[in-house]
Amino acid sequence: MTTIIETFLSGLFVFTKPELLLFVMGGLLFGMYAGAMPGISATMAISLMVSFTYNWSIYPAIAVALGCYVGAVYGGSRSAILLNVPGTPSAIATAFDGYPLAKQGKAAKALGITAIQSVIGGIIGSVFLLVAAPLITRFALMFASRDYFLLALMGIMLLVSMSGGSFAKGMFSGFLGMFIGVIGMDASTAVQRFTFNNIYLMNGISTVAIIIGMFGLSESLVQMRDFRKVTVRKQELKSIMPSLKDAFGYLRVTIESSLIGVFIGALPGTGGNIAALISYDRAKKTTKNPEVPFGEGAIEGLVASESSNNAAVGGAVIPMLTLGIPGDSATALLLACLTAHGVVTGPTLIGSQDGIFGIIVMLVFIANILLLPASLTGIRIFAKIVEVPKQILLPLIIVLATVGSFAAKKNLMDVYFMAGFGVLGYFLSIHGFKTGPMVLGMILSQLLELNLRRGLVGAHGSVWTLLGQIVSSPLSLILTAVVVLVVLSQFGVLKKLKKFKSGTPQ
Amino acid sequence: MKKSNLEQEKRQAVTEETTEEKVARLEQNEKKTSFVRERLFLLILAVASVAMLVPSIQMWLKKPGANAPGMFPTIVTAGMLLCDLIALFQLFRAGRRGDADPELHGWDKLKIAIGTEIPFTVFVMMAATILYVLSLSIVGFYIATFLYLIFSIMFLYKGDKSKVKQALLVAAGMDLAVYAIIDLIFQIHMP
Repeated sequence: MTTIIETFLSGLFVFTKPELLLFVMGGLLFGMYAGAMPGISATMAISLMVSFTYNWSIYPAIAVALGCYVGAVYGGSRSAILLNVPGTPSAIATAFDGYPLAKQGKAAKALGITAIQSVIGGIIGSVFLLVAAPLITRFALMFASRDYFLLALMGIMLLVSMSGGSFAKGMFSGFLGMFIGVIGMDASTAVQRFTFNNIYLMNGISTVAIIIGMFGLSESLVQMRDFRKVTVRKQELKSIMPSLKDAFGYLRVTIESSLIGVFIGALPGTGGNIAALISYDRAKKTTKNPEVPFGEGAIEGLVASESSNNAAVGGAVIPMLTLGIPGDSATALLLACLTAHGVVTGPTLIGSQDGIFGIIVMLVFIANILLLPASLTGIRIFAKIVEVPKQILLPLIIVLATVGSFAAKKNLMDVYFMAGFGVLGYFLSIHGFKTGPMVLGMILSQLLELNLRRGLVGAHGSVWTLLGQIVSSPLSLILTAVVVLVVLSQFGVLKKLKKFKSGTPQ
Repeated sequence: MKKSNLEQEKRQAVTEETTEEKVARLEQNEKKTSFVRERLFLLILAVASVAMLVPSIQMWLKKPGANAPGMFPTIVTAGMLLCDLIALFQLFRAGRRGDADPELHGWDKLKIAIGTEIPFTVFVMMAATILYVLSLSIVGFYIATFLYLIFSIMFLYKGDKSKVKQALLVAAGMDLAVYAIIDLIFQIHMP
C-alpha cells in the first residue's frame, strides 16, 4: 500500500514541470492524427516520435511517446468509423458497429462515444497500472533467470498464436527477429557476431530503423498493389460532444471490457487489438437485448472495443516496466525509448530514487485525461486529411520513414537498413509472415539470451539440471506448461475436432 | 473550360474501372501462381537459414558450452530452419489447390508469377525508393526528397498532366514542413 502512495506522490513531480503537459498533448495530437490515417499504425507513429526525441532528456521524450501511444490507439477509431478502414489494428472491432452508424448518418454520435469510452477505459487502465505494478514487481522478484526466459518465449508464442496465420511462419518471424537481435558484439564475451568487421554492425542494427522500415516502408509498398479509393461518408459533423448517457449508460460493458483490456494488455505479447476483439465478442454474448443488433450499429459494440483498447495501454505498460517485457509492439518501442535514455526496467524500477516509475504512471493518467478535449477537436480537419489520395500519401509516408530512421542517430546507415528491411518486409508480408513477432523477437533477443545463459550457468551448464529446476519450481512449471500448450494447440485442436466430429452420433 | 472537365471526368472514369479490374486480375493471378511463388520463397528462406546456421555452429564449436556466444545464434537459426521446413511441408501437404489453370506453363507462368510477386508499380517504386535513399548523401535530403516526391506522385498518377501542380505543391510543401519542424524545432539537421 505504501508503495502505491509513494508512487502517486513521486508522480506529482510531473506538475512541477508543467511543460511536460504540453509535450503529452503534442504527442497525443500527433498520435491521434497519425493513428487515424490508414497507412500509419500506432507502432509507426510511436517509432517516429521515439526517433525524433532520441536526444532529448528522458521526461519530455517519454511524455511525448506515451501521449502518442494513447492518441494513436484512439485515433484509429476515427477512420474506422468514417471509412470502415481501421487506422490502427486496435480499431478493427470499432469498425464493426462504427461504420454502420456512420452509414446511418450518426457518425458524430459514434465519434463522441468512442472518445469518452476511450478516456474512461484509459483511466481504468492507468489506475490498474498504479495498483497492480507494485504487486507484480514483488512477484517478479521471485522470478529466476529461467522464468524470465520462459515468460519472454511465452510472450512471443502468444503473439504468434493470436496474430493468426501459419504458426510455423509466425515462429519463423520470431526466430528471425531474435537472430537480428544477435547481430553485434556479444556483451559477455566481446565476440563479434555476424558483424563482418563493420563498425556500424558492431553496435547492432538500430531497432527503430528496422521497425520504421517494416511498418512504414513495407506497408506502403504492399498498399501499392491496390489503388482503389476509399470514400468518406458525407456527414453532418457539427458537434460530437458526448452526453452523460453516452459515458455511463453502458457501465457494465465499459467496466468488463476495460478489465479484459488491462488483463490482455498485461500479458506479454498481446495488446489492444486482441483485447478489443475479445471484449467485443464478450459484449456481444452478454448483451441480451441491444437496441440495435451487433454489427449494425450497436453502441455496446463501440463501447466494448474502445474502452478495451485504451485500457490495454495501461495494461501493456505493466509488464514493460515491471519485467522489462513489452505487452505489444508499441510498448516494445516505449521500452526502446526508455533504454535509450538509460532507464533500467524491471523489479528495480519501482524503488528507484528518481521516482521515474511514478512519473510514467502519472503521465499515462494525464494522457488519458487530456485525450478528452483532444478527441473532440479537429473532426473537420480530419475528414479533409483522410481524403488524401494514396498516390500522394504513400510517397509522403516513405519520406517520413526516411526522416524518422535518420533522426535518431543521424546516421545514414540507419536509413539504408530501413530501406533494406522495408523491401524484405514487403516480401515477408505478401507471403504471410507477420511482422509483429519479428519485432518482439528482436526486442526480446537480448533478454532471452541473457536469461537462458544465466539459467544454464545456474544449472552448472547441464540441460538436465535445468529441467530438474523447472520441475521443482511451480512458477517455472506453469510457464513451461503454457508454452507447451500453445505449441500443442496448433496441432491438437485439429485432431480434437476430428475426434469430436467422428464421435458425435449423426 | 467545360470540355476539359468532361475529358478529365471521362479519364477518371476509365481509370477507376481499370483499377477495379486490375485488383481483380492481380488477385486471380495470385491464386494461379501461389504454389510456385510460395515454394520458391520458402526455399530461399531455407537456404538463408542454413547460411546463418553454419557460421553459428562454427562459432559454438570454437567455444563450446552453455555460456558461449555461439549457443543462442545456433538455437535461433536452427529454429528458423525448422519452422521454414514445417511451412514447406504444410505447403506440399496442402497441394496445388490454387493452381487452377493447368494450361499455364513455362515462360508465361513465370512472367505472371513475377508480375504477381512484384507488380510493375511496386517494382518501380521500390527501385525509386532505393535510389532516393542512396542519393541522400550525394545531393542532400531536400533535393532528393523534392525529386523523389515529384517522380513518385506523377508515376503513381500515371503521368496525368493535371496533377503536376499538385505534385509540385506537395513536394515543396513537404520539404518546407520537414525543414520547419524537424530542423528548426527538433534541431535535427538532415544531410
